[in-house]
Amino acid sequence: MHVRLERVGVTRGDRVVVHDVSLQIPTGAWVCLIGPNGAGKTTLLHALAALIPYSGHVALGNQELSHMSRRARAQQIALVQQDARLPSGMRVADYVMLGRTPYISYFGREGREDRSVVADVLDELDLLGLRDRPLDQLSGGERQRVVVARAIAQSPALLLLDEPTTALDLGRQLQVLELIRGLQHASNLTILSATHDLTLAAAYADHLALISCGALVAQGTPRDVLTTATLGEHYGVALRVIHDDDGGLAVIPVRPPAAETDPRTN
Amino acid sequence: MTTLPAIEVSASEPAALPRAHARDALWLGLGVVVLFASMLAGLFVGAVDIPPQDIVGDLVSRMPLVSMHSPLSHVDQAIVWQLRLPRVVLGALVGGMLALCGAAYQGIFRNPLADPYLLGVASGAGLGATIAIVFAINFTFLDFQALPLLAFIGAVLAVGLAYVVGRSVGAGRSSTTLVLGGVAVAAFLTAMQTFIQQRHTEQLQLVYNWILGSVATAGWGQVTTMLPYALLALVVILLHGRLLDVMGLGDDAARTLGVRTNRVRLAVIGAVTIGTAAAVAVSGLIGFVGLIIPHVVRLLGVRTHRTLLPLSMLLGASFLVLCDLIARTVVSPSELPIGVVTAVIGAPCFALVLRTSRVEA
Repeated sequence: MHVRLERVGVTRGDRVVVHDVSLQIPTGAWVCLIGPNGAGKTTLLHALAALIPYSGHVALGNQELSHMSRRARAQQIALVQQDARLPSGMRVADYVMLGRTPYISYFGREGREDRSVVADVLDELDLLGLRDRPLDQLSGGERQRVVVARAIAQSPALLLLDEPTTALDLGRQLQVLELIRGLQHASNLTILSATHDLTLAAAYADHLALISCGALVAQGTPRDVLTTATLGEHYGVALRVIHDDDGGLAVIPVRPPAAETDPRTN
Repeated sequence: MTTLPAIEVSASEPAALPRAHARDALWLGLGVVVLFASMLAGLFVGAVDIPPQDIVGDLVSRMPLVSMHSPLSHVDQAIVWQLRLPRVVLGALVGGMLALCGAAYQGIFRNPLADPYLLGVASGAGLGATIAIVFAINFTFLDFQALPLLAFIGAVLAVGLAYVVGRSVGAGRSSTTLVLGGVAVAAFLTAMQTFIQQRHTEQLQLVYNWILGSVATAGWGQVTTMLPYALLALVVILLHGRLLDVMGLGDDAARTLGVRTNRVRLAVIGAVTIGTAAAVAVSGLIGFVGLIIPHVVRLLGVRTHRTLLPLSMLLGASFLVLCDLIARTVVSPSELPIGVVTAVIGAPCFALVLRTSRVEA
């Protein structure tokens, strides 16, 4: 699903939080929003998920987002929230089944197709063994996998991910991101994510979009966007970008010169 | 979603659902058995000694094509069918409704301390009942007596007021403002009720008796008064079972799944208000059932509202029937207020259940 954002803006009260963002996400591509805290990454994701009103245009394929019904939107766009609430004691399979809500009528129950989709998703995300487990007995990595599973059960064309790996250790981060990359390739899923972790963003996203103070200030391949000059300007600190021979890329913080720190604290 | 899904469970059924679902069905079956047993106990035991086998004999003698004389005298027949049975049925209706409404509120407000009186039903009904008692208002409108009618109207108005106040505060998106609106309205109405009560201390005892609650009846009147509202609330709440699970994800997540959260909340609040107001109007302010029974059901391991709601109802109904049985027998021929029994029996039992179960929440 080709996604096109055209001059998208969000205001809260009289404060402009997102300003004139225009962005294209080709079908099956993974674009990652990066930027400092409070830059407007989450706000932009929430606007696309129709949680908050926005100005401008968003097109999904050839459909205008604002013209779609809630249900139609929910069948196309799934959001993995930063702090997804997991109802205490609910079982994994029941939780993932809630992702089928856009396909079930108001007072309806899940049907055969919903059950088979959920079974497939559980299988795909290696959760079949956990389907009876209460959500509060899962580890951090398992929790995140289950939250992604609920979003995938929505059978979305566009998957929005807000800081999908923040609370995880490095190994679990890679597992979850590999999983998402697998889903991206398997079902030609279009992905827009937001993260703080520049190095991981560079490793997984096809394109990066740097947002600062609500405006899109740079976009392109990781190599284009993650430069010492651009990052230094928008994060307000000194950073060094290192490229290795395999095309990998790492962002390394540079400590301010010693003269500026108080020697007594050392 | 125009075609109804065919009900078919074949060998190729995907193994997606938790095995716990089979256990949930078992619990529901057990709930029905417990309720039936409680109601039988309520029917068989009372201040007047009537042998259970004679009650069964009387029942058999009433069946068509059976020619047999009832073993019960006319007085005993009246006691069983015009006093005990309506009382047992009313207890079951009230207890079931309070527990069902409590479970629905705990779900919709994502708050384990929520009970059916959360948005001011009790204070509104209390004010209405106090006005009826103190000013000796006595009329019948259609089939309704003045006291239950005023209590019902007070309860509905109180929640309506809490809803308006809660929605007008802030963005109106959060359920917290609704709860706070309920707190404000309840405080105000309770103050008014206390004021009226203090000015008319001679009727204090009557008001107090009403507040403590009772399912004592003088026939089927209260049951038929409450039944239509209870059925309406029951149907609406049970139909929202799956959506209450979705609401448990939080408002934002529910909305990304295409759910109109404010509409769902309004529908559930409306149904709970009608059901609770009807229960309170005929039985007074019986506490504890609506708060505790849903937690007992959760401790059994039931977590989806589709099972939680009906099972809460069955156990709430059984619990209140048994509490009433105790209320009318331990100090017979006089009676204990049922609200006292629900708390005195319920609180230690609940503490015991809490202790013996592994609670993770």
